[in-house]
Amino acid sequence: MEIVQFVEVEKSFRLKDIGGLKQKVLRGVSFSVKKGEIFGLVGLNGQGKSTTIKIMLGLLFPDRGDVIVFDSYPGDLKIKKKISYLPENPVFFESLNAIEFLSFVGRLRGLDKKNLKSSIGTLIEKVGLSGNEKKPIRKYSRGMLQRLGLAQAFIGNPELVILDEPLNGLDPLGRKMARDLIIEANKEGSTIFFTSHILEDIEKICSRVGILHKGELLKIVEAPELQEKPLEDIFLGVIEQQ
Amino acid sequence: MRDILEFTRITLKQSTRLRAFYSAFVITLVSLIGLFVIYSFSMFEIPRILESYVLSYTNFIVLLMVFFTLFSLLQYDIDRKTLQYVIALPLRRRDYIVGRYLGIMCFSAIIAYGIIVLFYPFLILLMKQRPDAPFNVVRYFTYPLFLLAEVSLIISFALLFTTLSTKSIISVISTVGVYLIGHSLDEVKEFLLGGHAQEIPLFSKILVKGAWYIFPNLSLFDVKLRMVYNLQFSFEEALMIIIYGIGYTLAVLVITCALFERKEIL
Repeated sequence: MEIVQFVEVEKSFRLKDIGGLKQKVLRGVSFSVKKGEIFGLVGLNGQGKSTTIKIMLGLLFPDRGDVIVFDSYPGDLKIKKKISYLPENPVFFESLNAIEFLSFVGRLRGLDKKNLKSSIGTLIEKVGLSGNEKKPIRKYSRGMLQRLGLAQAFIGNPELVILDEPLNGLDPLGRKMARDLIIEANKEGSTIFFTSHILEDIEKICSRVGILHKGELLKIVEAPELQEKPLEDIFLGVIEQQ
Repeated sequence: MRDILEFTRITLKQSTRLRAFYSAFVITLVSLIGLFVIYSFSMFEIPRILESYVLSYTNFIVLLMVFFTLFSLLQYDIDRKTLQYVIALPLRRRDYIVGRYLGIMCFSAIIAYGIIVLFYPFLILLMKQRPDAPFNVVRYFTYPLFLLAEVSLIISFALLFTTLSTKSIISVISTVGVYLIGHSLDEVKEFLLGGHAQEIPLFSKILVKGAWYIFPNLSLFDVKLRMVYNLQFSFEEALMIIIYGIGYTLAVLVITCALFERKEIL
């Protein structure tokens, strides 16, 4: 069953500094994300990964093509309840502390008081924020913010977790924790869609990988191929062919 | 509705945790001392001077805090891109607009009534010693409603400009602009279209008339002097001013929500 479908999606942005010319960011991108998989989208910086995510979330609208998420349109409240999102450079409500912030997100995802408290406690421990949960978020380091971002992404067991560069700013231990958290959530039934430009991370946890370059989805690498060849070789081979 | 209330609560929490809120509290305590200083220096019309002082102070601090809160919250939402994250949460886009509006309104109401209530026993204490002018308690406690109606319009315009601009400073400057125009429009219109009408070019007249219809007339809400001097102020007139504020706010919020549904969040 497909949870996300992109069909021939195109998106352009107007460039203010060169006389309002339009630059194509996505060129006929088509792919689907199947229920229960971990789908990775790789590409160099500025190739359209974040734009793809923003279209999936309904933050941006495609110029052409269709995007279907859970049989509906992106941005529909019914489907938003099933989705969580971690932005590339998370900035949350800085005057709140982690407990207040996670309670807010959990309540929006429909958790009741009892489940909310236990979920928050468990997640704070899993992401390694114990002892800092009552500190205002403004005092968090980059790594701590990323950990909090991961905690909010997994609260309420969303059906689809969208992570934009989730391992950015994390130390090696933090990266392992994040990978374990992603794999665990996937085992519990969440479908994961995540972007990264660090191939090693993608290779370790993804069941399928899409390679995005200059706004075009050049290839979708299936699981058997991923096991046969290092992702770096596949990636470089595809990019060099362009 | 539950989602709106959740976001309203978060907005209120964010507002009350701004450092400016604590500064306003300290300044208010200092101003309380000012009440006694004014009392000791005044010779005539003391009750009116004291009441005028409290209402003007309330007006000043509420507006200052509203602009400061708007600037702080919108700076996070737009410039630091918290908006991206918020819109991706299980909220309707309009829930963000309504939640922010209600949160800042609640915050303004807390400050306005907080000051009015805090000053009240001291006003009574000082006025008892100089009972030379009637003090209308109902009018005193009604005043913040007019101030809040004005604040309501300011917040709704700030949210409208937020949906139209990509920088928080632009939306704040535009909102300050609406505030200034809204307070001067009545006088400018009276000047240009009144006694000097023949000397004014037609273009200027059309411009002022157009602005008079588009921008809110904020001077309507400035009822301090009428309150303090017990000038004629019927219930119907007061009600019309409040209805004008609510109606205008609703219209701006509806337009804002409609525009925000189509806004691309970069």
